[in-house]
Amino acid sequence: MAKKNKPLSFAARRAQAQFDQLVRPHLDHLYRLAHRFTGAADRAEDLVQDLLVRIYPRCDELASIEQPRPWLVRVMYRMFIDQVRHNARSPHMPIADSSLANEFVDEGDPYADVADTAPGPEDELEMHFDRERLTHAWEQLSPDHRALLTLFEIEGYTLSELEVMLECTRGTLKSRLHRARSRLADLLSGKEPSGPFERVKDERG
Amino acid sequence: MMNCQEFLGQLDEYMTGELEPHAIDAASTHLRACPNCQRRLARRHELRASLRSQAAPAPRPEFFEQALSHVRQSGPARFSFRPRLVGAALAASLALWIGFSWLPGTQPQSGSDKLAGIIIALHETQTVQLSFNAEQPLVGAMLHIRLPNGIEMRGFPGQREVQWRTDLERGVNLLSLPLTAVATSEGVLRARLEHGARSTEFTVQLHVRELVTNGADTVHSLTAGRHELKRAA
Repeated sequence: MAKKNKPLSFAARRAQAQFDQLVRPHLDHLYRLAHRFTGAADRAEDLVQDLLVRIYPRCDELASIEQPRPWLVRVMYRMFIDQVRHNARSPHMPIADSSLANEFVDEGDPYADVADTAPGPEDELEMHFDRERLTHAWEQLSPDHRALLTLFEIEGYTLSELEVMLECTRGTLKSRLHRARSRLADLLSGKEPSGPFERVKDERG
Repeated sequence: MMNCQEFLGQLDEYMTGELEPHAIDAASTHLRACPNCQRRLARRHELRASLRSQAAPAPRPEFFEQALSHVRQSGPARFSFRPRLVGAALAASLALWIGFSWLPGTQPQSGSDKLAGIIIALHETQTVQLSFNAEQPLVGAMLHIRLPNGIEMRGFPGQREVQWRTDLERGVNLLSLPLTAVATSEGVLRARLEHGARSTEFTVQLHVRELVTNGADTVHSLTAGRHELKRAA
């Protein structure tokens, strides 16, 4: 028997129109962000779709926000990180959750061991910046590092904005950025990926 | 004098312009004297430029429509009055505005207010804006709209009564009612808002006429404070 759609109430139709109006200007930006986060079109679509379903019942809240885009980005980022954590916990991806949790811990000054005359891997990036290699390294990067570098290095969110958006301290944020860039530098210089995130990606196929 | 470690500790802020002026001076002084940090800064700019040059593909053309369509089937969204301040621009609006006010302590529990008539051209749709001033947020208020003969709400052909539950935020909340005149007639539109034991009702006299549109016939304005509508012409 064909599924019979119940007619929508005036209120529901109003809400739908309002929702469309609120989110439509940001969809393209959100999709491109999602693509950078996930590294794949189908996962980007899933993430944006999940985001829309999640925020649909929160239309009121969205309507009351003066700058909806950072709010939308924050919700999508949290969803993405939650998905990564969930996948890391799943029986098919036996990755210790603590490895990801550590990404959110402030480990102090990431530059504490920097000697005045000794540039580290993060400083040695220039010779590896051909497009193909960068694309490959980016794909090898952990989902969390990709998301973080997308927001800071590509989208240009400031540290102050990211502290609010990602709900973490300045110190934690800078430690995580430093680690993400160092990992990218390792990957660009041809070091074999050894961290847990790369194994996650490999196992997801 | 700043050393390399201190400079690198502030490099993110240096690049995003989030340093205080004195810190910028200190970082710049160090940078001028330190070729290593000059190189580090240059690498960071290169990294940023390279990452930004990596194009993020556009979505499939049909994706957004599919996504929004899927969301619509995912369940009801909460209807919202859109809070908005009513200001001087009100008089210039072509829409009709009906003012509700519900200020606890200053209004009776049930109230009624009659408005002067509104003329709607036959076979045209006109938006009537209900504005409701709530001193406190109202969660789960019930709104009933009863329409006179000859008037339909767009999307609800043939329905005389429409009602739904909604939340109101503190302050002025607006609701647009797209009304379409389908027959020459006149009657009363009733808007009733209930919250807990309290309720308030407002009525609007609607006149549907066949009008020769010359602009002036369908322009109305609200006389502030008196809830009276008058023809502008």
